[in-house]
Order: sequence, then C-alpha cells, then structure tokens
Amino acid sequence: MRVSMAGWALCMVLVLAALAGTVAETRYEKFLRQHVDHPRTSTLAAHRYCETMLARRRVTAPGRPCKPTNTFVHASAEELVAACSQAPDATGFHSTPTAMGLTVCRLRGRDTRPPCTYRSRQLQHHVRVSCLNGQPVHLADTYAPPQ
Amino acid sequence: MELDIQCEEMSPSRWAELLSTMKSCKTIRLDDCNLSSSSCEDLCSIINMNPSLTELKLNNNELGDEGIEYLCKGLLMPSCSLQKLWLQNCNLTSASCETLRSVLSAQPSLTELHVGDNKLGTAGVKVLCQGMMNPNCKLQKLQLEYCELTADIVEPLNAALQSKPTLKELSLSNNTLGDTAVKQLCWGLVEASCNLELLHLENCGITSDSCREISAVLSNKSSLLDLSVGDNKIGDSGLALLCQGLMHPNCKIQKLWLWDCDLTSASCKDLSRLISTKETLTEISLIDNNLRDSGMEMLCQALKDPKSKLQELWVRECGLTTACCKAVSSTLSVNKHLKVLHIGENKLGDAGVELMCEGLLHPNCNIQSLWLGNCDLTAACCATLATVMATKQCLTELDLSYNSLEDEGIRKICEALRNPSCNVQQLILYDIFWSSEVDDELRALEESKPEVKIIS
Repeated sequence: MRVSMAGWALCMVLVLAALAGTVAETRYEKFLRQHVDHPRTSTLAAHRYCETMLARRRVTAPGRPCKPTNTFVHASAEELVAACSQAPDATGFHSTPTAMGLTVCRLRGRDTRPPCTYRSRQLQHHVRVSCLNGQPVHLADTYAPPQ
Repeated sequence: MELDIQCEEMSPSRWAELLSTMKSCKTIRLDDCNLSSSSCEDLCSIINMNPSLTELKLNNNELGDEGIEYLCKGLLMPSCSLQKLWLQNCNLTSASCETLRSVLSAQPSLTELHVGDNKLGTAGVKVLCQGMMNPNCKLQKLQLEYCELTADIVEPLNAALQSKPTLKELSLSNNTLGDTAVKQLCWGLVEASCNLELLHLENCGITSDSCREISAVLSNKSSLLDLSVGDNKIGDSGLALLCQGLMHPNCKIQKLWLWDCDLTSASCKDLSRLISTKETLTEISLIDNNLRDSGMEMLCQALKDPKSKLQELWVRECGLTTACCKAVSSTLSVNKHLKVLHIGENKLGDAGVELMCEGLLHPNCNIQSLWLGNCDLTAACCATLATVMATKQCLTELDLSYNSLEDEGIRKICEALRNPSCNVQQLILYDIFWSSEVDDELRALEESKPEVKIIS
C-alpha cells in the first residue's frame, strides 16, 4: 500500500517520543497528529480511510474509546499555522483564510471500543482553530465558504 | 505467548526479529504492518514450525491473492491447528477463495474466519460456501462484511448453513443484499439446524418488507442472542413487525442494535413493551433515530418496571432535549440494573444534566459508565457533575467530550478526580479546548493518580 513516507516518519517520531517519555508531545504536535494528513493518505480500502488513519495516528487505540468525530485536514501544517496570524473572531477562534480539503470522520454504529467504524465525508471548508503561542492546538469546527 | 502489533512499518531487521519470536507464539496479530505476499512466505514457515499457533490476525496488510496462496500452504499442513484466521482488508479477490476453500475443507480446527473488506464477490464466496459444506469444516464464526456480495449469494449460503450445525455467528453487513435476498436468508436460517447466536445485517438494504421474515428467525431461534439490523431503513412499521418476533416467548435476545433505522417516537410504544417484559434483553442501541423527548419518556417509563433487566442503553443522537431529563432522572432514581448510559449528541444542556444528576445521586442508581459528549454543556453544570463523581463510587467512566467546559469547568472536574472517594478511572475529554495551565494541571493529576486515565 502506498504510504506517505513523510507521514509515517512524522507519526513514528511522535509515537516513539511519546512512548520513550523523554520528550512529551506538544499540543501542536498532537494537533498535527490528530488532524493533519497532507497529502491525503491513500489507503488500501478507500471506504476505510477513517479507520486506517485514526488507528495509525493512535486516535483509535487499545484502551481508548472510539472518538466520535475527527476531522483530517489535507493542507500543510504551515497553512494551518497561518490561521493563527488571522484576527480571532468573536468566540476567540481563528479561521483559515482559504477553504481546504478535509475528511470528516463520524463514528457509526454502536461501538465505543475498538474496532471503531466510521463514515467519511469529504469537504472543502474553512477550518477554525484555537491557537497558543501562534500555533494551532485545537480544531474547533469547519464551515463552508460563503457563496 | 502473544504477539500483538498494530500500525508499525516493519524494517527487514525488525521483521527477522519478530519471526524468531513468532515460532513460540500462540496468537499473532499484525494489523496494518505493511506486510506483503513475501511476508506470507515467511509466515508459512512459522505456521509449519509452530503447531501451537491458534490465532492469526493479519488485517489491513496488502497480502493479495499471492500472499494467501503462500499462507494456506502452511495452513493445510496436518500439524496446523489454527482456530482463528482474520484476513480483513488484505486486497484479496475471488481468486483467494479456492485456496481458502481447501483450508475450510481440510482443517476442522478452524472455527473463525474473518474475510470482510475484500472484493471476494458473490462468485468468490460461493466457492467458500462449497468449502463449508465439507463435513470436515467445523466453522463457528463467519464474517463477510463489505465483500461486494449480491442477492445471488443467499442460495449457496443457505445450502452451506443447512450443513453447518456448528455455525454460531454470521455477519453479512455492508453488502447490498436487498429485501428479497434477506427474506430468502431468513427462511434458510429458520430451516437450518445451527444454533445461531449472532446475526449482523447492517446496511444490507433491508426495509420493513423483510421484517416479518427476520421476526420469524427471532421466534424460531432461541439461540439468537445478538441481532443487528442497524443502518437499514426499516422504519416504525418494520420495527413493529420485528417486535412480534422479539416479544415471542421463544426469543431470548440479549443484544439488539437498531441504530440509524429511521425509527421515530412512534416506535417507542413497542420498544417500551420490549424493554419492560423481555428479561433477557441487556443491551439496546437506538443511536441516530429521531425518538425525541416524547419517545424517550416512554422508554424511561419502561425502565422503571422491575422486570426490566436492561444494563446498557444507547440513545446517542436521538433528538432529545432538556425536556426529557426529568423523566430520565426519575428513572435513574428507581432503576438498579442500568450500568451504561450513552446519551451524547442530544441538546440536554446544563439544566438537563443538573436534573439527571439528581437521579444519578440516588442510592438506587448503579450507573458505571455515563456518556454526555456534545450535549451543549458548559462550566455551569460541572459543580454538580463533580459532586456525582465524588459521591457515586460505582461511576468509573465519564465522557464529557465536545462540550465547551472551559478552564473553569475542567478545573472543577479535576478537583473531583483528586477526591479520594472518586472512582472514575476513565475521563474522556475529546476535542475540548483548555489553557496551558489547565493542561499542566491535568498532566499532574494523571501522574499523582495513575489509576486515572484522561483521554483526549
């Protein structure tokens, strides 16, 4: 299966670091792990993108209940960091200046324990984030570009 | 000895290292490890050398038909006594089915075969069914989700089921079967001598049209404990028909999954009768059905009946609001059996949760696991939640994900966790934003109380 080497490399570095306990993952690194997949990973079974990605990114893992929703953004980390230099809106969130490709994964069925089953939707939306020290640390929501 | 690895890309040296440990493993799970057909050659030798291997799980590896050929060479050895074989999402096609058929015909030790997420197609699975017909085959569990099966699979499948009294679990979810095929399947299941315990037909294109036949399976097979028809548009009329079978004295159903079935509050009358009379029913999922407050109130009434032995109730995303929380609270103060309540994705609000907490605090209430994700909660309800956490020793798991609890709310929850009388072991806080200070506080808490896991 075709796997983005950069994606794997990032994943392994983060996971190994977290496991080694030597350098705890920062909140920004966790944001990238849970939410950024660029370029979009092509998975063996296209309808299992969510299951595959969530497992690879340790969002789904033994001992963790299935995360009900998770959004993967198919844009570079830099583009998301750029959101933080935009003025925040009334609720304190920062929007990306442009719409970006996303896959929204929504938990289906009844399971809260792995294996977790998801339905995916691909969208072209602006992303709203919370920022700390100029870096995104929380994905608040997404919205369609105004027509 | 167990080997269990997930999502790890294997370097050649790592693979070699693992191969030597595999020689003495009873169970091997290598999920999404970038294995290929050449890995299967190695695994074949392992199977030959390791007669104590009982479980082999290789989901999510691009093994391909070629890989399966190698693997099965090992599986066909008389010394092999493999019981469970999982090959989901391994890029298999109908070409693999001939090889798998020979394993099914030759290995009576094989009790479990999971081959979902492979484009086996009707032609391929037909060949598998032939393997199942062999008297040597003692298969108990068969999983064929997302195999691109069509209605034509039912005839050969029924023939195989007739010959297989050992079969206990069958999953055909996510195959476009349609009502006609499902009806035929049900007739076959009623005729078959197998004591089927689990039947999963999620997203199979079922409507109310085949519910009478599914009902017949329910009233004929007392062995059936676990039924899922989730993600099928059965509607209220379909549910009414299903209830005929569910309510039958022969039916000993324990787990019933009716998620996303187009049910409304109109179904709740029948569901209430089921909950308050079927003492075998321990778990029911009604996720993503527009039951609304009126429907929920009916269910709450049923749960007050002492005959109800329900332990798990899943009403996530059911169109509930604050309005039903009084009824929920009242039920919690009476019902001693309910252990798990999933009520997230409903606009309960702070007021709703405050009401629920009254019921939770009642000594009769034995809730262990409570799921309130995305319920429009804020910091305002956290003081009351904290009281519940510190008072209810039975509460071990609490989900508050996607609620804007803010620093103030999280701090109150932390305080409760620090309380020695709080037994919450798993606190789920997915996608909530908090400051760096609160982040530090959460980390410190996890360190000082290692039995507590904070999941985010």
